[in-house]
Amino acid sequence: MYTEPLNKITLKLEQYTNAIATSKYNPFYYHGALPQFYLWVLFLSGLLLFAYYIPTVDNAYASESPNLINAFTSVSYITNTIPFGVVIRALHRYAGDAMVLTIILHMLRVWFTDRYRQYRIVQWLSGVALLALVLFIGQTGYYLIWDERSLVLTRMTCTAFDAIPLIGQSLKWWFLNGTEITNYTLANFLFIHIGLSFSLLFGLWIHYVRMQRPVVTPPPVINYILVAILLLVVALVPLESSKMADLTQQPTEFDVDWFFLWPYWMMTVMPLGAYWLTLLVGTVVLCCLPYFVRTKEVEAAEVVINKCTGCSLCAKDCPYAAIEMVPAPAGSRFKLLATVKPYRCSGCGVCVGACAFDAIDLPDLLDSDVTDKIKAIAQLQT
Amino acid sequence: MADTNGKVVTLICERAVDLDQHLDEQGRLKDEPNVSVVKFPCSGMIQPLMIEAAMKAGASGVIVCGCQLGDCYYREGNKMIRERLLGQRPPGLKKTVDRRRVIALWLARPQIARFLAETKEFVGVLKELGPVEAPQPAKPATAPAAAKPPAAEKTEPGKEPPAQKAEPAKAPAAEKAEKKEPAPAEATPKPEAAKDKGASKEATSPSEVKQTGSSPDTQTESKQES
Amino acid sequence: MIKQLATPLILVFALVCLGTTFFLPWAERGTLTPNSKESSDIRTWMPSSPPESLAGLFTDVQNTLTGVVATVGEESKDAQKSENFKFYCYAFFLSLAMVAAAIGINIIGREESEEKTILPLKK
Repeated sequence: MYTEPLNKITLKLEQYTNAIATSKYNPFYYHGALPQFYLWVLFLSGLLLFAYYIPTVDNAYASESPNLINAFTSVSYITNTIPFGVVIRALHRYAGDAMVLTIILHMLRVWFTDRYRQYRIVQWLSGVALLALVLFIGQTGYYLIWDERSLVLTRMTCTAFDAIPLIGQSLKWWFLNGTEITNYTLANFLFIHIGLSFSLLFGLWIHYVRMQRPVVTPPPVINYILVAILLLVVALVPLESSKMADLTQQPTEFDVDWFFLWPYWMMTVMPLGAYWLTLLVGTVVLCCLPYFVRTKEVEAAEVVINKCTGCSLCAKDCPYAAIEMVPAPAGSRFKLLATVKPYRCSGCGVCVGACAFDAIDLPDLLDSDVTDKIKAIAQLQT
Repeated sequence: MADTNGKVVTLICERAVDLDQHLDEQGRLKDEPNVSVVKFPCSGMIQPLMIEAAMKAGASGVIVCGCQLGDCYYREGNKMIRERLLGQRPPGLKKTVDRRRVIALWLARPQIARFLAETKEFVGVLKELGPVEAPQPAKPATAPAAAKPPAAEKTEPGKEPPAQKAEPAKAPAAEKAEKKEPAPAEATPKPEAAKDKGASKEATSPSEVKQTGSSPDTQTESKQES
Repeated sequence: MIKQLATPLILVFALVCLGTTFFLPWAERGTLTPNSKESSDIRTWMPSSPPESLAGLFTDVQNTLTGVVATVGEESKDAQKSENFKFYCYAFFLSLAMVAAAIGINIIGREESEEKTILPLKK
């Protein structure tokens, strides 16, 4: 497999981390739970920011006057007047960056260690969708500040939508909530930012549904470190202040947050048609990644119906929730019968290990054969 | 029949320690020829019955090896077998199995040196423990007192866990015949019988042999097949 | 050996927590208006800023990392003079406390036999 050298590197790295942190606290082993944790930080800090944020663009005056109330002044209020407002705001921003970073690390790890194909395909595809959602939500977060950068980003997005044939104009109308930037636009941005964030939870449900007991929370040790990293960055990399967006002006320079705003950089270096094509092709390649590797099809476990007692241990133990207990057929002495969903089966054999009645088997590796082999070995004269 | 041969069976998953370079063509460790390796797709597939079968067939010890805890390729397999061995998850290891002869290792693919070191240490420990009593089918327990079990284990043969009774007697598989031998109270803990750790079922009173009818025959049969 | 470390570690951790809490009054100071009853009480016994040496430490760290720090806007250039400095300071020390907590839990919680399971003998 072409990812084998990368797998080796990953294993080596994890070995060193195990030596320091032990496998109980190794962050690599919680690679999926890390972005989930940052999502909770984002929800909490976002909720606090939401309490004071005002989604309007009114700027009858070009400078901040004490009477002006709009998105930018509300953000300034949070930053400068509310105690710890600046920390919460910076936490929110850097948690977003951290989430993208940990998602990418998570993606790389499942790719390198070959955990993204066949029976894991739903997890992978939903993960690609989630990544796209998270990136877009982060961008809307930058629009919400409504400073000069936000204005430039909004205008660039509109230009980008213009370049899409057929549906481009409708997208732009949806994006601006009208034909030009108004208060409705910013209210739309807020709706997208918060609404899509909650739809992430739905996407995460799909991401988790094919696993039993998904690991969604790192242990407290790791959580403290995650928050400590955020707070450290908050303290050492203060948020820069900026100027309010002025619809009559066209600023040309702004700071780019590479985690979220790399598409805008791309827009500046290539024609828009090529930009959309790159994004599309990139997404398709990502989605098709699991199909580039061809290995043996998984032979799903099979239940031996006349031996199954309905004890449910296999169903409880199956890591991929591939076994369902159904009512036993009429005439059976038992109440339940195990059935396997072959499209979920990974061929791991945990069900075989759980069964005390020899009632479930992997077709290509019968446990009776294995037991025979073990006995043969145990009896060989040296 | 089988004698004190010091065989150690290693039940290892394909993605744990990468032993391919260290095995000869019969699946034995080059460094320790007494240790043979049986591979599984996941350590979660290991049934405690297999460990019992190994001990009963005369193995000196069993090593279970899976991936690092938290890094099972199939998510939970190593956790499952670990809990089964510790008695925290059904099905469990029968009480007749000497716990000192079973260890579990959770090692990642590159940790070959660690595996070999642990195996060497375990083989040493097994040597100290002494030979295993070989299974003696249909014979009263007059086997020589080679091993000296701790006092606690004397009551083992009489106390088969009730769960075993639930196992359907109809299971046709001959290999599972050992399981079928119910542990009724008749297996009174004679002091001589107590010596047999892994061999308790075979060293039973004649009455038990009669009850289970064909099982000793199939027992012998299966042993001859092996 | 590790079990013996536990007690001194807990003591150190407790001290770090206390130390972090010690900075709370300065952090909270910014919330109090000149006319509030509490502010006059606190000002009678509290100096106006954390010990100079610590402020100096913070400045040094910031200067060293200037290359990494985003520098657009006056707020970041003048972090130690702005009103928000105390909040950043608090965040910094809170992060240190959290790292100390994590290390403490790790040391106390790690088991020797992570990679090996020996079955207990008691039945």
